[in-house]
Amino acid sequence: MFGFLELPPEVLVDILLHLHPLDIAACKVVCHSLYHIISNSSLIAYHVELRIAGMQNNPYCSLPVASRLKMLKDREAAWLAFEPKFTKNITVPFVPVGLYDVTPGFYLKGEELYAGARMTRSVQAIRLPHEVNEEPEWTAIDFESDIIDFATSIEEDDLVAAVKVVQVDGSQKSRLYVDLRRYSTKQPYDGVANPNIILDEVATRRGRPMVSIEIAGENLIVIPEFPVDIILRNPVPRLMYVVNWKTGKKKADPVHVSNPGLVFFREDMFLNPNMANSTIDIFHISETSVVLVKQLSFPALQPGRLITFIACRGDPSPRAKGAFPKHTPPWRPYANNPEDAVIIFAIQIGGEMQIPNDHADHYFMVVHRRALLSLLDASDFELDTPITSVPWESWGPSITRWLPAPSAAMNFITLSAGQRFVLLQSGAEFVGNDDEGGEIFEPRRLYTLLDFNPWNVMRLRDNDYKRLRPNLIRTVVGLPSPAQSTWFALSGEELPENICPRRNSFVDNVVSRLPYIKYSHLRDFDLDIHESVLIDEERLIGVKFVEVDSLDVMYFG
Amino acid sequence: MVILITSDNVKYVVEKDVAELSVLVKNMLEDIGPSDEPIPLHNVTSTVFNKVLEYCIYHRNDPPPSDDDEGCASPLHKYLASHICSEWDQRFFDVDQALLFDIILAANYLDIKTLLDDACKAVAHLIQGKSTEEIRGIFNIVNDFTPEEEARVKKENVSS
Repeated sequence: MFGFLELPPEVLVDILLHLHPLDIAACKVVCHSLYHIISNSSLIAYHVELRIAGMQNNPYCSLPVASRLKMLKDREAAWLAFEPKFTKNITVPFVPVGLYDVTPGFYLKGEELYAGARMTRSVQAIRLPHEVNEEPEWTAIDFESDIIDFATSIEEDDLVAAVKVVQVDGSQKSRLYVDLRRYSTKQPYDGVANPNIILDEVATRRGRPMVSIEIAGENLIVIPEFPVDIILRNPVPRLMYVVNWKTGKKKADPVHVSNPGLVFFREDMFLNPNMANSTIDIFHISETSVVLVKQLSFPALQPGRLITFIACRGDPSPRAKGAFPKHTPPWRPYANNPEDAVIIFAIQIGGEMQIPNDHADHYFMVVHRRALLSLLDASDFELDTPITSVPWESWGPSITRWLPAPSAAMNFITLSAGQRFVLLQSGAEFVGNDDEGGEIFEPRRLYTLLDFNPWNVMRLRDNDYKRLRPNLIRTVVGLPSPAQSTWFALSGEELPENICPRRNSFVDNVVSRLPYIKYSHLRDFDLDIHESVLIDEERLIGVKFVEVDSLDVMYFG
Repeated sequence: MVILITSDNVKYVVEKDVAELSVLVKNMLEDIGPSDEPIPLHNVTSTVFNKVLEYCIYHRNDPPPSDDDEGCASPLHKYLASHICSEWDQRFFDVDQALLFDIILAANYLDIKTLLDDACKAVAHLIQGKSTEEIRGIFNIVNDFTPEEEARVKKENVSS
């Protein structure tokens, strides 16, 4: 009989390319000929490295496989050593406002019309540098009238979308709409049914709303919140608008939700934290409906406590049909796979008395998008099945990580890219004694980078608590070291770091076991002190905005 | 209509759009120009060609594969997405190993990318989640490593 090993080697490679790295490892030990095919194929090595890094190949890149493999390995090594390849300062030559976005390869920031105007008509954008000699240039996207917020899908669709509210002439109403622009031309988006999508008309007296806007594939979601509602009611009632931005058609009538934040699971599915029920609500979008399919409960809260704020993020956003974003620059051989990325939640829990920051507790929760997806099954999508609410204990502890958070951390949510999560904490470092014996401290910022990539965690678990270079400490958290594992299995006790204190908020301490690597780096990489830090697929971006506006880009690859 | 003759001398009359799913046949047709000459398929028997034809007729109206499909192989999109690996495809590839390998060789020879790709996925499916020993069993492969060699190879990292 004609056998497996007699298939042409290039076909065997094709077959192996459909397998998980662990299956490939099992095949390697089968016999000499499979061992040689696997060891000598740079295509397989690249495929394995991509899967391990949680990335997708860029089919529009013309670099040979060997170069891609080397770039990918260099990049992963730079992140694993927390050693940027270069740092570069970029000044902000305009008056910025709070609106901003970081998306793979781009930083965008709203520009104030003039100092003190409190109006934003344009968004300034730069392509972040990938080489030390690159001089990034700011370019403006002029939306011509006041914008409230914006979202981007640059690498997939060349799209920047802004939400606006304009008074309708001669009425008490204002029109809420989305203005679609092409990033490349800065012009109204051509090739769609209408570059201005009207969402609703609302009473002008309700004021200027804040909005959250998210895009995945053809779906664009806007959730406005009006100041008057925030003052009067708790939880604040909000309407969510889901439209196909390519056709301009609404997918359904607006849906009532309790939280402005949302993260797409995939093009046709998203989560929205429900503050009223203390759940994560999962919705499915079809051509004609937006339907709640499942609710995942948060850990039980103490009586009188409720979730008063949640922001969430999962970068990158899923793409249409999972396809690779076609506007990715050709020099970039790969991009983070949205499915492998983590979703982070910044959660504030306060008293029912609604004094937002009074005795509030703050937490982060981190979970992989893939892990949440795997909680869904086909029956959840059958229309007549009742919505099930899954108790925290049966879904959460094994796939999430809870961390106590500083309250300031609630201000920025652009803290994750792929499986990496970054935090910047203020502190002081003891540097010595003065002449009179007094202790001298210097202000420092502590960069903390958390890597939730399970492969990296396994790779480093034997090397935990190793000092790599001055000022850097790398530890593996939440995974017993090999020496401990027998003890761990026998005693069944939780590792101390798996327990997040309940404080005044939860009924019990929150147990969560998702392991990660923690990097703590004192000092700002010998740069100026940063007020905050952002992350994209290739870089950390230290942001200064107190005296002079500038960015320090730390490039890892 | 195109006339194709398999290695065991069975004659097939096939519609042109179906026959041209094979890049090999398409190129030959272009080379010889308009003609009623039958095209010989030296490396394919009628047993295997029956299967190949069944696949090509079923998939004749599929959009041509593009690089955009890259991400479609991800489990995310297999999830609930029946069109990626349809029930029909599952049944089609539910054949014994010998025939599956013959289909692969035929698809490779005839240069039918989608069939080759789907058949490779079907073989990969046999391997998924199996141990080294189980893989040897499935494909009837003899372990030609010495115990020392095997231990050394096992120790190598997943990523080298």
